Amino acid sequence: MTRTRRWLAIAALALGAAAAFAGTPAPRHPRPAVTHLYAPPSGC
Amino acid sequence: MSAYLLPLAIGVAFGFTLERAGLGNARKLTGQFYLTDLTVLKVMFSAIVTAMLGLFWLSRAGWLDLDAIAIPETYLRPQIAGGVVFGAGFALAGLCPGTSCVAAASGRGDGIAVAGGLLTGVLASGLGFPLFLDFYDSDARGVWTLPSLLHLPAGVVVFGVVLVALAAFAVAERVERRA
Repeated sequence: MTRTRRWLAIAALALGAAAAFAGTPAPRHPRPAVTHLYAPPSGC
Repeated sequence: MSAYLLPLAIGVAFGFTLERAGLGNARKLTGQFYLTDLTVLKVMFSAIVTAMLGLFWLSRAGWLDLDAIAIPETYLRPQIAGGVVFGAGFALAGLCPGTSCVAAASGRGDGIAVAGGLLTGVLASGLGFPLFLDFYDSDARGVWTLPSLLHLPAGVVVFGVVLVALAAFAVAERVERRA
């Protein structure tokens, strides 16, 4: 594993673990900048 | 005008990154099925983890509202059937829809053939759509997400997916070394 990959894995792990503690992704800001998104059917 | 230019720019960037990842090459893609080259799994899992963490934390920071995201509904049996057809076509052609366009754009003959077959298939299924309209609309399950199915907070699911992705990367590297 290269050094870059190792750091990316550590960053993902840290952000994921922090997310588990954060629980729900409820916005703190009453009026978010982006309010409408469409998740299209994914494919490669 | 930006309504046309922005999607075009995003599409070109997507195609460029697919090509740079080597995914315009049918040999590399079919390596997934023979367990000799797991680039597809690694690229897809990287994209999922990046988008998932980005959406979670952007929402947490108050920059976007996750509840406003329109998520396509699940039609279980029709989507399983679609997945089987998609997988069979992918294994047969060595390319999936996006990568066939990338392969065609970079001048590969197999890419042009698969993209041509893809467009023919789209036209044929469009013309024959009334024949399977009932099946297409059947087995509706509403919007399914992992947190709602598992009855877990979204953040816990995010962490779980990160752990699964990192484990998959480690296994993939080991499988590739053996191949």
